[in-house]
Amino acid sequence: MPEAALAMNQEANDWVEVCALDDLPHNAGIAARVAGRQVALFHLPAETPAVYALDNWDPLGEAAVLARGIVGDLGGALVVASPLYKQHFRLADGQCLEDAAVRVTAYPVRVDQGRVWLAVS
Amino acid sequence: MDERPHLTVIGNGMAASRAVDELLAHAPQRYRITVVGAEGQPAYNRVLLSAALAGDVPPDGLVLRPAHDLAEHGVEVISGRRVIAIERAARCLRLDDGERLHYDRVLLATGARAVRPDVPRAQLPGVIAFRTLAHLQHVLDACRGGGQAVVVGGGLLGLETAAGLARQGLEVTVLHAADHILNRQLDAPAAAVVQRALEARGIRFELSARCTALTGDARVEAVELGDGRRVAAQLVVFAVGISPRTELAREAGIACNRGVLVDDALATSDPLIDAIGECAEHRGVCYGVVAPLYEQAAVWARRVAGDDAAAYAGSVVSAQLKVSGVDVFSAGQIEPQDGEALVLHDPTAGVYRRLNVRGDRVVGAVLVGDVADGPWFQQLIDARTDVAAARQVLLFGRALAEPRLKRVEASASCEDKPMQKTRVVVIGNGMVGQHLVDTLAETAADRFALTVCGEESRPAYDRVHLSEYFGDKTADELALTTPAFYARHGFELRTATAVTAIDRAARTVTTAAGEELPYDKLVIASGSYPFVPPVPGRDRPGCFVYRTLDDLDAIRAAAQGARVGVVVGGGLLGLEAANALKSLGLEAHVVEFAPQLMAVQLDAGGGALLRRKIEALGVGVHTGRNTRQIVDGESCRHRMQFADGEHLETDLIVFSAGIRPRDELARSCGLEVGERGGIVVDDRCRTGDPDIYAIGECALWDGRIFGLVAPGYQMAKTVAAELSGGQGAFAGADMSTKLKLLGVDVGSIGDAHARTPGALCYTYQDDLAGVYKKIVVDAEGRRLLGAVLVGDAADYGSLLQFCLNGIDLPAQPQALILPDAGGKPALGPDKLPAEAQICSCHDVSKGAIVAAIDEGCTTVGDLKTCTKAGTGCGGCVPLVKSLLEVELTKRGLAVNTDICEHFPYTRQDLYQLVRVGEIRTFDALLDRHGRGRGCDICKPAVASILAACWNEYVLKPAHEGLQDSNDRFLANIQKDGTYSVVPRVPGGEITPQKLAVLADVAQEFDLYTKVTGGQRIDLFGARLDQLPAIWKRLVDAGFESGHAYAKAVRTVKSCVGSTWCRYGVDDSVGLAILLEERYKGLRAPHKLKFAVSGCTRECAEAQSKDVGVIATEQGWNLYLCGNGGMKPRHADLFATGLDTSTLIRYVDRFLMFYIKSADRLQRTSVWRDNLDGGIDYLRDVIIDDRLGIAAELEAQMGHVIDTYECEWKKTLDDPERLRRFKPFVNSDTPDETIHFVRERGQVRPARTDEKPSEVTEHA
Repeated sequence: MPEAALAMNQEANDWVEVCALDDLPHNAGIAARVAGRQVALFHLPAETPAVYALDNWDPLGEAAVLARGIVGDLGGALVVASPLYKQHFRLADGQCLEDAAVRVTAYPVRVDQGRVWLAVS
Repeated sequence: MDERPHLTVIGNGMAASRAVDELLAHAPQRYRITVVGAEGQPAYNRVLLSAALAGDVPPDGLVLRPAHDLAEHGVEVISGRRVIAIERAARCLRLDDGERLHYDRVLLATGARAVRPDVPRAQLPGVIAFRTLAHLQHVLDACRGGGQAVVVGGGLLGLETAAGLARQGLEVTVLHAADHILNRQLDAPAAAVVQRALEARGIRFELSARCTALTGDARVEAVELGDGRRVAAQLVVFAVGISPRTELAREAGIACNRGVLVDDALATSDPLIDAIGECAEHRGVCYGVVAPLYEQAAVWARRVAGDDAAAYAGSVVSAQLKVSGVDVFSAGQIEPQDGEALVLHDPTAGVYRRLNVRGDRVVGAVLVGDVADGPWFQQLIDARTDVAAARQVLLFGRALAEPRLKRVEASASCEDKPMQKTRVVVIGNGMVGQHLVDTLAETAADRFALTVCGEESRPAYDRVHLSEYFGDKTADELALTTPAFYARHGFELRTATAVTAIDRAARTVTTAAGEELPYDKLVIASGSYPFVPPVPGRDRPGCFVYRTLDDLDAIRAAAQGARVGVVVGGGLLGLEAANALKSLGLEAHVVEFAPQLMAVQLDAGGGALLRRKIEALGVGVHTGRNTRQIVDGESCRHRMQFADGEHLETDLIVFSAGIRPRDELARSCGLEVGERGGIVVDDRCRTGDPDIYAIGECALWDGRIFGLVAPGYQMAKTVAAELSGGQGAFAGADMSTKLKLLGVDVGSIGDAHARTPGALCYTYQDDLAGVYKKIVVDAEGRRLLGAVLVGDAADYGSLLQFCLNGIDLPAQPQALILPDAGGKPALGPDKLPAEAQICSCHDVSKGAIVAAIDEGCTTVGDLKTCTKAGTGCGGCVPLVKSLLEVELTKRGLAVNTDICEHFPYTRQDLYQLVRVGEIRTFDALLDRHGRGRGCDICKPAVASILAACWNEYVLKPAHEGLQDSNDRFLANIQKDGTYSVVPRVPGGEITPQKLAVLADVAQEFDLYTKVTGGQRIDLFGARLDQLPAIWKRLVDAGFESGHAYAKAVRTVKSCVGSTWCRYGVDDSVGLAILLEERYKGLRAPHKLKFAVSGCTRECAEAQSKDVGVIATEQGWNLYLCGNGGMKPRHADLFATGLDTSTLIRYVDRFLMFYIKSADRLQRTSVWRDNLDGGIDYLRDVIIDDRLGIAAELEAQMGHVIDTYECEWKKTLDDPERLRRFKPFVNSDTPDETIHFVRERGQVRPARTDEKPSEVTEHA
């Protein structure tokens, strides 16, 4: 497991099984409900790790839409672009690239035997 | 015998060595210099000791300056001997061998010693404090056998030592008392990054740990910790800090605290003795890192070399080090108690950044990983730069942030020595008064106690764009400043405060409330008042002036229920007022005393054309009319009776007949005013009283009043320079103007009336197109003196530059105003001199813009932020842009037209690559021609290209992730994340049965329903998961996707045409349906809208569409490249009298040619503007097939038409696709964050304050 995920795991306590990896579209996002929250899952099969999870709520557009954004990379960092106003959020940690003060929660993800798990602290 | 004064330096460390070097550089012969160093070797670089330990530097590479080198400069170095006393009475230094040295001046640079904790057995062999070159050898010897080492102290020196020992092969443990290492330089997260890197090198850490004792007999064997544990060690290095060596000074009776106390001159309590370096204490700080010591050395050297002004103001300590490949930088306050921290943390990349910001200043910075911007952040801290403008991007570093920062002069040294602030009172808070305040705030805010008295209840606002208050601008949007701005700079703004008197003897002003405000300097910026001709009846209700927002509120109120409005005055402002009345829905008239409009700026020919144009807009123009009186009207409220016996009835009158300076305050306190008003000022904007200035419209300079804002701003700058201690110079101002009056472009430059003796005129007039242009040149035809432009002011920018900069005219000056036949002499920005003024609103020269480009500005946006150029009226933006392009090209920086970082190609290139390479997927294109993974710019652009070329189903798995949310879910996303649904209604024709289906669906799903401008019906508020059910109903009823969600052909609007209409010439609805069915869903660089009108009455508004068709008796007329929207544009008439099949052939070719050659998100109008050769070229390609591609374009269009499928029908047939419309991958419960409220009988999204509270906490 990459270092970032490990570091985050230390804070996380509950791993929740969400869905099958096959349920996730490739190179795109989809929304999921995890522990009472809306989470945006992104499956990028060519990347390591391949699955990322951010809070689905777009704090700038103020709607639950991040799962519907286009994923890609900017300056080497994997990002999703909000479908409302096109700000970019880093998949690794939820940081908004256009506004240093804005960041959405990024959740640790584990894929185990074809199932996707999320840690929600 | 050397007669020069004898300067003795005690100590030969880094500070002493640098001080001597600096002094030799400044005054090589002034002193006889002797350096006494206790260590038995030349000065060496102590900072590199640990590098030498690590083996990166050989021990002899540490020497700063060999002894013989100093000897050559006459400096005597006494090394290996120690000064044991300073005998101040005798002015002698006593050395340890008994020798006495007489001195005239002493520099104490005795440095510091390493602190050894007072723990049992601290003196055991194997325990050292790593401080000197002698220690280095000692440590290297100890390392030879390998084994274990403990470094006590996790500060900078401790860690460097630990890293060095690890490199020597020792097992190293670092003991640190605080809970994170480097706690003086870094915050905890940054320290953790460094610690992790060191741990990767095998170094262990014990944090919050103290060494309480050492154990061992003959040699040290272990370190005992506070909790009783022992760490085995054959070598223990203390690196817990240093203490200044003050004993010499102390014993000599010189004032000491922790260090030897020095003032800003670096003098001790004995004026003959100075101290610098680690032994000195300045303003309570003893510095232990090199940079401040070197700064002290430099200041000291300048002082002893005779520069009495040199002073040391303290240093912001920064630290930069590299441990085990991790770069670390810190500066200023690491974890301040107040203020706020901006943090960027990317553990994956090992990058950490923290900026501590207080107010709008950076007070501290911690960088780990990427430290390249460290010195820049330090500059921001040192200079206390106002970073408000770049706050959002500050964390992303210099490249992004710097262009946004205004240069703010360093005011770092002012804090501790508050100067007596100059009390400045400004009378008037108009545009010019505010500009003065802004300028002072930028340059020297803390030098002034500034009070501004404004008569209006609002802070300054943009009077130039006053009329936009009747458009879409609010008072807030017009505001030029805010109370917060004043608060931030410590200035005082008193609104609704009229000043009633100036007492020059007492130097006070009195306000209407009776308060007296004292001033040192007074600036009168009271502006002007509108002149109202002394006509009987001018005081009647319904008569107004046009000057303030309050005036406009009153006019707006009076316009309710009024029918006719008259503006008295046909000048610049009067015409704007007329436009405002028109926009309020009144029948507007302009009454002008002079025989023409805009008599000041235009000549008779220009005025006549302007009049025709304005009349054509429905505004009545009455020139040469002298109003005698205003009386009760018959059909309207008032009747204006003119001297010639005519009259005009109106409900509302606005006087805009010029301005008069408000000089009454100056008059009553005895300042000189002009014969026709205006406070007389000199070139420095001073009145007769040297402490009183006047600026703006109230000031009379060289017999002239300037009623424009640009000269006012220049006056404000002049006074700002004066107040700041410099000398300002106002040299008059150019009164050239360019503006749009009632939609008519008007420009006036310099001597528009050709009043210069010998002046010659060239005139060009095109009555058909409504264009009038005149240039005025000097008798020799070499210089441009003035110009008048009406109807087409495109040449304004270059003509103004010719005029202002005295540039030689071409041999045929008339070419400058003749219609462009290809041979127009271009005035490239290259030809302008550096001092040429590019932006007259903000007085920005070409030189200033070039300098900003040198500093890294690469876009017009950067330049606007950096220089303000182009942020006033905006008229210079094209020139700024071309200047930027020229300068970037000169620097070898091509203007980047790449679509994004993933493809080094334009959209047009990508289209060709896809076509020619028969590329079918994004991944294949990226693989062959791109890099990275793509982004939200290139993915939708390529998806559109693929669709236009191959027309595959857009939601095929390979294409799905490329689509914008709208295309991906085949609906239009709205602000709350719901979607709107627009089924296709070709030509706007719909049966009652289908209309009923729409009504049923809207009712069943509770959708907000609205008729669109494209003759369709839009259903709003559908949740993602409802879309399939909605479309099932629609498709079953025979509807197809309307592609309202796509950059594609949207609608073909039509009037009812010859089928029903009495005037109809042809079947517009039939053609509209034919066109819409043919091109529906065609994806393009931007949306495409069509319309067909059945006659020239043009009810379908075809001339505002990308493709417009109008029926005539001779056949169809085809219009291309128009659009509504933000920048409306009429379409160009492309071909006339076409039959239907020719029309369709042309449209096929046109659309495919546009798709092939347009830029991303470029509408047809902009595309056509950028086509070399414009509409004629387009005719060449489409009608005459000059490129020989017509058949190919038609074939490509044929493929798209033949492969059309309704995307919604296909989606409904595909269960795999429908799964994507589930609200959640693991749940069918709908999105709970969507809330509606009802308004006018339908739903609308709830605002945040209308939502239940558990939802708003997301935000």
